Amino acid sequence: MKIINKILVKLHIKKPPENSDGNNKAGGQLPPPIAERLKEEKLNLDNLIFSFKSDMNSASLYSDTYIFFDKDGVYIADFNEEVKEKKKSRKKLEFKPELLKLTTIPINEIDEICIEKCVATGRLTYKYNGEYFALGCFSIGFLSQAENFVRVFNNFKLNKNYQMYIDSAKKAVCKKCGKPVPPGRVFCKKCTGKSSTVKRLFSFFKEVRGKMVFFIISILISTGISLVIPQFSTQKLYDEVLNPNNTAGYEELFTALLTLVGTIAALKIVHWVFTFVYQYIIAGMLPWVVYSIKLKIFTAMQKLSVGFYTHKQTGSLMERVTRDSNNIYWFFVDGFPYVITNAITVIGIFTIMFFTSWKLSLILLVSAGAIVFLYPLCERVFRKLHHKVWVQNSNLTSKVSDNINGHRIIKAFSKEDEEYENFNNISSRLMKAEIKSSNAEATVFPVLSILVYALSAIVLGYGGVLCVKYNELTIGQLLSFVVYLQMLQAPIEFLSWVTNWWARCVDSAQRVFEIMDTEPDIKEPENPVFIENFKGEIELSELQFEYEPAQPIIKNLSLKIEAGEMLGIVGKTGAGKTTISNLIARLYDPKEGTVKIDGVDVKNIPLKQLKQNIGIVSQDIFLFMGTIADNIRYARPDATNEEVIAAAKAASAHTFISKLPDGYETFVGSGGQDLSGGERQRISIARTIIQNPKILILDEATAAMDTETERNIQNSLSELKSGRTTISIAHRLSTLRDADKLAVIDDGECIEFGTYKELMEKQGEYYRLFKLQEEALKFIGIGEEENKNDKENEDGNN
Amino acid sequence: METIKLSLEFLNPEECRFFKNKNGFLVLELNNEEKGRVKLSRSYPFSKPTEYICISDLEDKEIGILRDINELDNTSFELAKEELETRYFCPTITEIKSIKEKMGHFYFETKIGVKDRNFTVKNITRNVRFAGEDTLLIFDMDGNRYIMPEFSKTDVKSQRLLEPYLY
Repeated sequence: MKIINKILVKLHIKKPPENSDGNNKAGGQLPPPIAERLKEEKLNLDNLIFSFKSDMNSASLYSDTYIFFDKDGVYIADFNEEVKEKKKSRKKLEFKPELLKLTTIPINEIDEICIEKCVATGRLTYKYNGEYFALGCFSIGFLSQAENFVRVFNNFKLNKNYQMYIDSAKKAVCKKCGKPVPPGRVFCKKCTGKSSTVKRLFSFFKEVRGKMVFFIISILISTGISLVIPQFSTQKLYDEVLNPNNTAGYEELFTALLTLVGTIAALKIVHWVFTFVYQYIIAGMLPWVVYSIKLKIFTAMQKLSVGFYTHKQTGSLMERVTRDSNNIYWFFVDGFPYVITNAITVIGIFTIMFFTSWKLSLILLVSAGAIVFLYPLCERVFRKLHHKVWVQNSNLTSKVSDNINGHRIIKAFSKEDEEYENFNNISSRLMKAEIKSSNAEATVFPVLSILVYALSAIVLGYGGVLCVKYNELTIGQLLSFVVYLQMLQAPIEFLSWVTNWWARCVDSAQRVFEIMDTEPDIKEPENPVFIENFKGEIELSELQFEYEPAQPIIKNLSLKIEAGEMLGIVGKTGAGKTTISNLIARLYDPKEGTVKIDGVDVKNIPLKQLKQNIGIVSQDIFLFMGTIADNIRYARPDATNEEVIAAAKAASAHTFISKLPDGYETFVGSGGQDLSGGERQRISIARTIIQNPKILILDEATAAMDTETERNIQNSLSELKSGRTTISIAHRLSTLRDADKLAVIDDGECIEFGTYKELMEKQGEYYRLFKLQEEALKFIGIGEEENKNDKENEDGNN
Repeated sequence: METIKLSLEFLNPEECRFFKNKNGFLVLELNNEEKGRVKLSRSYPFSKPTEYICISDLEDKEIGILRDINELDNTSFELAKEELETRYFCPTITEIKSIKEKMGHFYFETKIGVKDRNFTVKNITRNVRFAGEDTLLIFDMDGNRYIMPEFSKTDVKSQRLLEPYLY
């Protein structure tokens, strides 16, 4: 029945089965054996609202604990789940839960449920009358389920809508087979197996169907003719013309010979013509197919969010675009046409051989069968070996790219020897993987060749016996047999190593499809809300965010910035300042809470409008390959030359640019003019200025500059600031002298918020930081000037 | 989205006058006030050789930007042009006779006008590149620069010789 169901699902007749695993599937249903056991305890589970399965009990020991609630109470059931073989049928398994402990807490004795995160575990607690009580424990892998449980319960308790959290608990399933898949993937690993990879690989040829038809027809004709030629060149020639028993006259024989030679020549010409045609078609078709594969990978990579790039090595991504698509290309150019011709040749030769002598063919078939059996075996081994080589290769590429990008740091710390050692290690691992792969190739191919030679010897020996002793074969037939056998050698050899090649191609294709199948974390909203008059008012409410599970970076942060205001954010390193700007620009989505711009959740604003209206000058400066003018124009390619100069002037970049021999046409980026950190930063500020965003985020934008340049840029920016919401993140408090409001961030929370005057009067964290910097400035002798400026600022704020 | 008004303030060409002092150096007179010796630099040396010309004093302090030197009076224009051409000296290659590679160095045999000029280029992918649609720039290892303004219109042989190094 299971097999029939599987076939029906494959044929799209039946829907894939729902995920039967886990407890949170359909709004907190408990697994049937658990529910049955609990009913024995006279527990009414009909009104169960939500449940959560944890892997620990409240004593932090591994156990199968179910925590669930209904309108009367919260229940904690500790089980010992065992899977045993059924007594009568050994093949079937039985799920036997043993109830260890059942605790009930009346719902009116719980005000709210909370989570306390530890390093590798979490604790569920509940609050009653201001006091905390333990509810249960879980390992960190269950954190998201636990958080969801808490959300459902607390919203239920507050009479708020909790249904959406129950729905969100449903796990993502494979679109094909219905099994659970990791987040971001559409198909499970099994469904992206080899057969579907092959199918998808060939789907790239859909758009060149017409050419494919011509290609296959030409290849069939060309191979068919090459199979027929030995019939004329050996069998007919020896049996009908060169046969000593032939009694025909000289002229008759001469005519027969001429006809035969003419036929062979004609067949050869037709064969060459069709060979030329199919090679011509494939040569024109394949670069197009590979171009479209490369384009699709690149487009897919552009759609992926920042998180994806931080979790993948640069080398591995570059390998996918270049090496993997080339592997696919070379297989299809140099392998695929010959796979068809050789497969047809093998089948055709065997058919002809059977008609010539079934006895000899049978010997051949048995021996060839053994070789055919070896192919899948070789393929599996080669596939693994190639994957190993690929992994080491991408490691090596990453290492080289790392070293090239970080060469200054390496030299500064004099780490050349260590880097050499690291490179040597990776390189030697690659060498070993390559040796293994080459050794395997070097062993398999000679063995296959020896087998083919052995076959020739057997055929000649046994055929000779049949021919001479029993007179079952003519000389012409035996010779054609030998010719066919020789013709068989090349295709069998080819097929023996093409499996290796094919394995490499499929391995590459799988990696390529992995990129194409990855769903971006940041998606275009389903119902986008276009803001007609983008003002730039930002509201962050109860924001929570973490890059890695259980390591919160932003904890419950709320802020409001009016349109056109400048907000200064200060705080220690690692306090979460940059993360706030990333969340506003929607480079990441918050885990909890909302980011609203002009009252609209950023998740609902079309990405294009959002990106056009938010400009970030970050700590990481990147210049693309091209001229300085191209880099400044990056955000707005239609900007005029005049605007480019004006933006550079505003960013205090014009002076140094005009001193360069090629001015704004100086080539920068990889392999281009070397610019200093401050110069690159100024170009990136100019790039943002020309973008004309409504929201400007300056993330330590002027940190690499001297005070005078910083002051110049700030003066220019303050002119541009009108009608623009500016968020400036800085360590140097003098950078924020023009801020309307200041926020002090500490450990992911906003601990102080207000105007400069309010914060100074409060004498809190900002005041402390201010005094510290003042002391430091006094120490190096520039305190007086700074003090004076700050006093002016104070007056301004008043 | 409303477009930002990134406007540049240009010098008024009618108020600018260039002349040479007794030692033959270029001097600017702005609004009838002599500014002393000045340096001219091009913002877009290849695509806009006469436009967006920055004028600065000998200490590199910018005096202003001229939108186009063509707007100046004839004498000033000629002087500014001459000064810029001296500063951005870039001979035009009319023909490439041969390119030979030895140990990563590329030896060019070219013709500039009627004269032959041989030079060596290192790191060819970086030092032979397009500036704009059809203008090819070549930088030799001594820092000299050469230009081929209409590369697609140069003789077939020159194009064929350079083609492998263009990307």
